[in-house]
Amino acid sequence: MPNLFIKTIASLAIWACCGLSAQAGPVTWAVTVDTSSISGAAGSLDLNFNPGPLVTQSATLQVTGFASDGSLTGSCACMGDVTGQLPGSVTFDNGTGLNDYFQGFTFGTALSFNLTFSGPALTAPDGAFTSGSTFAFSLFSDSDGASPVLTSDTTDGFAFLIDVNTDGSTTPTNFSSVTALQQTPEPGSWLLVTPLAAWLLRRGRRQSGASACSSSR
Amino acid sequence: MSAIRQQVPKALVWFVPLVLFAAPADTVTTLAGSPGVGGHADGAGSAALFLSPKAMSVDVRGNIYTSDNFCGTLRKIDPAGNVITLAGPVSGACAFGSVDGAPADARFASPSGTAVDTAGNVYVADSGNCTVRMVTPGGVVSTLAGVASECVAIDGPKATARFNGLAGITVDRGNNVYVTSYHGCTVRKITPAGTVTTLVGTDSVCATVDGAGAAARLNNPSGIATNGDGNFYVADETGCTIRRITSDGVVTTLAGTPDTCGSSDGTGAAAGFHVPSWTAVDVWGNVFASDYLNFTIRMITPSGVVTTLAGLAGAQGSADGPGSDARLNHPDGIAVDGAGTVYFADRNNNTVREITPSANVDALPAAQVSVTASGLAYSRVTQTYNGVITIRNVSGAPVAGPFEVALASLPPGVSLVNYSDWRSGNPVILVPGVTVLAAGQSATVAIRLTNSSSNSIRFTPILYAEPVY
Repeated sequence: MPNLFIKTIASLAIWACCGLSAQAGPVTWAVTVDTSSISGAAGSLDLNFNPGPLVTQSATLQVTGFASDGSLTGSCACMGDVTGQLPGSVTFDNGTGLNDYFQGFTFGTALSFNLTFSGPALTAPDGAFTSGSTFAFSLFSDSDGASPVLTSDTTDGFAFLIDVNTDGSTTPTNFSSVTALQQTPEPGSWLLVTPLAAWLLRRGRRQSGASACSSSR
Repeated sequence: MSAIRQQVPKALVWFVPLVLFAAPADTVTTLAGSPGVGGHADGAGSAALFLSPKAMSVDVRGNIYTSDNFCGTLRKIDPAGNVITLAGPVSGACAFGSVDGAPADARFASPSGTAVDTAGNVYVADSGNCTVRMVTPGGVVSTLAGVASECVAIDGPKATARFNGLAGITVDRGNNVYVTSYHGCTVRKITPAGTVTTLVGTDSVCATVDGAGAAARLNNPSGIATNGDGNFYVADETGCTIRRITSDGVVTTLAGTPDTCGSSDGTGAAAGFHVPSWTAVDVWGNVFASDYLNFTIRMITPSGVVTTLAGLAGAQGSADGPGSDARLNHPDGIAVDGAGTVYFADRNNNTVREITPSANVDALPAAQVSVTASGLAYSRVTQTYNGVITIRNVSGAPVAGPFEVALASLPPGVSLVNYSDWRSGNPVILVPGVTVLAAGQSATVAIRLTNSSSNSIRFTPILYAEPVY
């Protein structure tokens, strides 16, 4: 019975690990922004998720778990395939060229949310497609979205970007020293699991082999 | 001649000499006009006649413009070689003066340099009138700066600025116009509002001295060209040099020995020119110069290596053909399009001629180098859609560059902001920092687009390597 348990755990771990690399799936990024330096300031937030200019595979982005001690003001000025309203769940589809969510925001000390990318571009990336999709997030110190804050990207004002690549992977580009981006589960965590799983599997096989030997006597 | 750029598999190394021997050189052909026959006739190819075509410029769609210096006209030649009179007296007539207005009513006096902006407006250095003229795509003429017959160098606002000795002209991305003063030995800048300043040189003080602004000296500058990299390239006729001028007026000598004329190829000061009259510069930074009294067309790489592209020094004539087999007769105005085709006014032949590269004219196939793109992030600040194009060598062998990507079939209202050049009406962008893509290697270039329409941003990427002459 213990052998079966160990083998099951090891098999699951290896399946999960190998499955992550060999077969893509939805990807979630946890976002945390330290806005304490501009706490109390009235500004705005912009989120957009758009396809590329070539042939783009379908992808969906869900924004969930929006939390902040700041406060959203007014309602969203949305364009394209965007549904929902923060702090609730907001869903973007990359079916149109500009899918944009823009809303007034009075900053608190922090804000956080999760980004879950899904759809064929992530679950079944096809080499026939030549464009990825990109999510962009910006914070502004004005209600018009003209004065970006908390970013080193003074030209375009992006706090960070996350690219959905044509191979189904995602790549973040962070311009904000106060923004933390963490993929959940972290890809690196599987690197820790792999040796453990291999060790567990080897141990299980050894014990199973010993058991077989003893039964053959 | 540039080196053969395509990588050759080792197995084929013994065939390389044969390939080199058989490889076609760049070829000179006559696009329009009849050699040795002067006149003013519109028409196709050799049916068209010119009377001392002087300048040359090419627009984003490959239309060529030349000033017919002895007839007072501005001619337009489409890519098929059909010639029309865009402004000035109608076909069959020549006339001079200073008249703005409708195409056939307009008059120039010894029109010299021409330049064309991305909207298709043509700027003319009207040297006989000492004015800068602007011609709309429909041929309507206006005076941008200067007053006819008031030939003196005065900087200042449009109302008071004056010019002398106008020769070459070019226009930058901001529609600032730059002119050379042949006799004044200066380069002057005209803003879209008409304000004139002197960028380089001191009026009527002519010499060859590198330096900055008013301290620099030019020696009868004629042609001037820019490719959007912020530099200007000037043919210094009497100095027998090609000068490079930064946008803030710092002058260096790119090629040629100051005040020593010759015809030798070589690097920098080792090269010789004999009254280089006009310049053009391509997106790769290669400068093309018409070597007026050598009867040749020269090419200068960004590092100053000079080669003779067409013609044979000292041998004037009119013959089409490859490289040094071709014969030219006082080549003057020169231009280069996004595909690397060089056009020049063969002034004493009264023809417009072209030089086609010998290799890398066609697009690279996707089976050799793939092109993909990221999504487009929208910036509220710049109101641009920003993305990244990635090129990747998917063949098993290195592929020689440098590379540029043309954005074909852009929908109406969608524009590439950071274009490097134009090719067959499509904006192109250089892929920076890569001269050879190893097998499996990738390179990227950022793109910025605007969209004034409700159309989705879509385009067809076409990848090119630098043409080889």
